[in-house]
Amino acid sequence: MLLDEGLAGGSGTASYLQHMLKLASFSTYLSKNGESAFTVSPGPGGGEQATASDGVTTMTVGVILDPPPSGASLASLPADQPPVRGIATVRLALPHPFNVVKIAQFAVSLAELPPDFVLTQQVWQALLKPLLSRFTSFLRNAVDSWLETDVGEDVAGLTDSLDAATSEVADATAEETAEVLVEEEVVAEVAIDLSAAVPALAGLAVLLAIPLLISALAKQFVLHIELNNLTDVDLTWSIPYTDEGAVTVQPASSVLPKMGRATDSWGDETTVPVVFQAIFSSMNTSGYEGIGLILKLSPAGYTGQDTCAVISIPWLADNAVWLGDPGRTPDWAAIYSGHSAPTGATRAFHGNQHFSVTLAIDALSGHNDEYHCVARIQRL
Amino acid sequence: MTGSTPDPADSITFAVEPDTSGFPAVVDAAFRTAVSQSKLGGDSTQRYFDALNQTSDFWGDLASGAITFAPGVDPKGNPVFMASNGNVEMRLAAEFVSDGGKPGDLVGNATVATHNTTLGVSSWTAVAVRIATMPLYLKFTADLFSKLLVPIYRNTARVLTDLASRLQQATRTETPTIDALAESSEVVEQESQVVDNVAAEVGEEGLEYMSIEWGAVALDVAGLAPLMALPMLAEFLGHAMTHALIVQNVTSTDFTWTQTVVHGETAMQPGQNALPGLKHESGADGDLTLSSSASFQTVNYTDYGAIGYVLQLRPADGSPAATLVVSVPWEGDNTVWVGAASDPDQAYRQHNVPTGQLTTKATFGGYTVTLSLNKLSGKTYDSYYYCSTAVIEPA
Repeated sequence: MLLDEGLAGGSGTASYLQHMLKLASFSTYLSKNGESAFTVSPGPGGGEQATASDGVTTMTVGVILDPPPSGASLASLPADQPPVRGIATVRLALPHPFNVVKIAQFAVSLAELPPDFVLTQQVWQALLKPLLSRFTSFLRNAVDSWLETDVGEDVAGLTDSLDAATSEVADATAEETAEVLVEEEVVAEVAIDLSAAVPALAGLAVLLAIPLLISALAKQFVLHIELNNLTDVDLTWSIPYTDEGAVTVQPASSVLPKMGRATDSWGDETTVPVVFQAIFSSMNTSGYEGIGLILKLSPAGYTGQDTCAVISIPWLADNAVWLGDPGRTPDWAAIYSGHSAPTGATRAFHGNQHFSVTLAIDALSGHNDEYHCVARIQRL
Repeated sequence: MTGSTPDPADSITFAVEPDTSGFPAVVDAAFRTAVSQSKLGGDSTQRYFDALNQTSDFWGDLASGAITFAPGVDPKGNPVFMASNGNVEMRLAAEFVSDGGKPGDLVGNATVATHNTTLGVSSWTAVAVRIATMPLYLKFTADLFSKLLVPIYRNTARVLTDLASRLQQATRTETPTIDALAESSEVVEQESQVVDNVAAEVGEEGLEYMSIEWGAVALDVAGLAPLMALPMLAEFLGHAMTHALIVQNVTSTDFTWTQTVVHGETAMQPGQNALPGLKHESGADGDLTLSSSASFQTVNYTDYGAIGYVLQLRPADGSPAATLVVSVPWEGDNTVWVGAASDPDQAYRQHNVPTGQLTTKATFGGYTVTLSLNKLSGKTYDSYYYCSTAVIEPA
């Protein structure tokens, strides 16, 4: 389903959003323009319809009422039967190249009419307009309340929250009455029962509101990695595999010198031995992706003593760090997928015949989406 | 480090004053290559800013204390202070000038230099060090100065670290507005109050405390601020759209700038509106030609707003002024334009129409301005990050 794709994170979410944000901008348009967003015109089947369009997306709301029992007084109708029933249709359309059409249809009924009210053909016709206006105002309020829904981190519970918001608006709208005018005279005040609309509108909520709510969840991950070489051999680093995200900062040289006196570009030399550091920064490349990479460390002059570090900062799940031996002919994708699952550990350790490596991350989640990893290699 | 009010009999105070205006770049082959690449527009301009933005970790780590200065010696054996993270190198150096006998005497020159290892571009500034107060009995010698170098470096390093951490805090807000001069003024004011205990270095000469009055170089410290803040701002983009501009003056004419923001708001502009021409310095680092720059960062005011501004560059030699227009609309292509115009608002209205150009140039009497742009539309690193250089050169 569309929503599943939307919540999957990664490119699924990105492509979902690209299309759906068009609809989301329509909901912003509705919310901004209020009553004036809709224009009313005669609709098919003797009904009335209201149309709103932001130039890209068009929403048409139509109401058709069942023909009235001819000349009957309401008093003669069975008490448990709503006096006026009809069908409301909401059609939401995005043209080429999106080609999205979503139709929600549901029964509407007048909650109650004054007991001695005579439902003439003329009054029946007069009911359409106030019904439609109640209805469009219900839709607008529903959209408003969807947009105000607080998502937090509970993406999975989003549809339930939206349904609850729709119900609340439906109840509130049902409590307000609309005036039925016949020849500019108020002949009755009617209330509309919208309880049947709530489940039907859930489909619209998914289309209209979720993109915006999810876009608020876009995350900007920043990962800083600091690598310290405390050994007496030069260390060659590489990033042989990137699962997600992009490395934006890395040292100009792929060799991290052994501990010793440092020389800079002016020819200055430190009078104390210093530890050389390599600094990396990585960011996610879309708001719905994480960062995942492998950093490989190869001490100069040794074979079979390489260590690789898996660092995974996924979009929704907890972070993971892992250290291990890449083996002689490493399959990086397999190493990454085998060791990127969250373990709850913030530290990893790996030792081989000559070196020991530690890797630590400051947090597994939260932390304003900015994380720091420190790796250190030492002689055994 | 800080302590009770020192006794004048065992304390020395230095006052530093500006020698170089701001924190200019050293004009060498690497600088010329980097600047001429940046003029090309598109990816070339982006690479120039990438290399600058790569320095953000250096300043950030300096701010957090993850990078510390290490003592060292220069090729001639003089003590220096060094810091590096591989992408940026920084060194503090000072040389003895003359035996000062009394307060007010110039005793040394101190320099702060950075080197971007990716671009190969160095920046450099010098300050003059004078004696403000000293015990009457003290004989100020080259030997004493060299013993005081490490305390002077420590003090200087603290000014830089403080500035970096202050800027880091200022950039980490939803709507950053960096006032380089205000931040720098607070740093220098605060650091001038700090008294260092120097008993370990010069206790034998009867000196216990040292302090440095930084007040006079607030503007120069402010010149260093954009160098730190620009990459920090790029790293923390809370905003939907950002435009960074670096104006580099490679002529010998002094300029002043005026920015008129039409859409959006200024996140950072230089602490002063002067953009000096090429300067020549000679000292321990040999003969240097220095080129000044002015950095601007402009963001959109709301998530759905545009960025648009006009920058006017006025030469001191009476040549006509250059007007630069930058337009980053919410929808549609970005535009850069450079030409002659008197009214900035009118210039914006007339020249914000997309031209599809990633670089544009115009000549005004004795000088030429080339304005580049990294991208007409779309994202870089998942952000609407746009950047331009404006290079002022002799025609």
